[in-house]
Amino acid sequence: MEEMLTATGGLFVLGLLLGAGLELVNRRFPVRKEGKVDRFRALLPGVNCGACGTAGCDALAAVLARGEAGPRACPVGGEELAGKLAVMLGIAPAGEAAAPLLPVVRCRGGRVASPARGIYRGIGDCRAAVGTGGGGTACVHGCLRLGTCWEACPTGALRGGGDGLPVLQAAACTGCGICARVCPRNLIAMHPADKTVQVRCLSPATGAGVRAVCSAGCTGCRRCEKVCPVGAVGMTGFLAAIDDARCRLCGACVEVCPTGAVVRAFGCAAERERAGLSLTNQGGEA
Amino acid sequence: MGLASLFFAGVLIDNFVFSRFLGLCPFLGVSRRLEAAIGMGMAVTFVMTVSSGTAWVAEHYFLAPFGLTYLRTIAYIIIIASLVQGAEMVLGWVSPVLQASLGTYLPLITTNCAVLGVALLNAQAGYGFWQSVVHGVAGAVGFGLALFLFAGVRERLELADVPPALAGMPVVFLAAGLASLAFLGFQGWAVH
Repeated sequence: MEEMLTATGGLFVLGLLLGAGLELVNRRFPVRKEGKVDRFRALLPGVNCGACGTAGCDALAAVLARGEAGPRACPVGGEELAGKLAVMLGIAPAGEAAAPLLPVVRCRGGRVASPARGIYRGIGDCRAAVGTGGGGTACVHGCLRLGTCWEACPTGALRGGGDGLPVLQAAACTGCGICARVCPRNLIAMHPADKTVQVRCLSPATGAGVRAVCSAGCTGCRRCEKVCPVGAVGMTGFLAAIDDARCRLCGACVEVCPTGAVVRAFGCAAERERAGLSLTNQGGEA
Repeated sequence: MGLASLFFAGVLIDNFVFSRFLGLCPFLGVSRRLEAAIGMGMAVTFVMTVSSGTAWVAEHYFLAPFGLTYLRTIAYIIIIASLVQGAEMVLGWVSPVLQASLGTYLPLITTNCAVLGVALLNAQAGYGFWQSVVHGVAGAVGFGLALFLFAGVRERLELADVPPALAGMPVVFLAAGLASLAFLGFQGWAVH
């Protein structure tokens, strides 16, 4: 019994003394840093996992404060943290979380809509095809359907669809933009996920020129421009262009488009709202 | 055993990582980059030196007189943990620059197995105060050496063509095993 009391009492006193000591040290030497680093540190998850490549959350906060890391530096925090960090870094305006960027493939010329002009037997890579004979697809502005973009995708968010065009699984996309960089025809653009009405054609050819090679391209008929209630649609040559800042996502242009070059993408925003789903967790056709 | 031979025995023959297999988590966690490895080595040196000395004082003026030596492990843990915490606060006041370079690593290694191990090994071997401190420094230098060497190995491993089945951690463990075999060679030395 006495043994037990000595042990308990001894450890109790030891803990008490050390605790008091720490408190004294804390009063004598108060923490006097409350800067940028701490504000970043407060946002980070604090699990010190090291997945970002630094020694822990404190170290990443310091890197962020020096401006040497982007808002997606922490792989643990996900989109929510990326939004907050973007505001703190001054990349996104405060108050509203920035919509993540998703890749938009500006071509709908699949195997059916835009048949092949010949058989391409070269290296199975879009960049090689562009460098040699331009590949086997009929439209010289459209998708080569050789899959360089989805092979470059590090997360498998972009995959080959049945018609040969890349299909986006938005939930898996991290918005890294690698696909946009590897496409030799610049068909992929990184686009805010909440701007869901898009023109999916990049051919500057005339209406007849487009129709000769593709049944899904923009022919420059201007019906979308005329129907738009807010004047968000204009024309760049023979190609419709939507001003994202003005677009109210009403979808009137989508309905009048005769070829389906103007589409709703990433799933419909209004439907998603009704279902109460968040912007980033929703898969969608791309 | 003199202090000098104690030091060399601690660094090479009884290397904490490669011979005693203590402190493996920070060893594998922070050996990815040379810069981080050096910072970690400095932090470990600081903590192990201070904790060896403090543990000796606690052993001889607190645990032994009250017959509480069987509480050694738990007592050492709380003493070393609060000591490191206090030292970090003081460090932050005295030299924020030094605190920034050590600061990330200090909380991570508070009573990791190498730090606790050196204190317990000192008590088991019955070392005196200075012997304890030298053994602590030697253990930390040995740990730093292991970390430094292995960071170099891992920087090369990053560029090596590793079979997919071994990519990542497995090949690191294999390399650590080989480094440990190399240090086994020091076991043949007799230190007086």
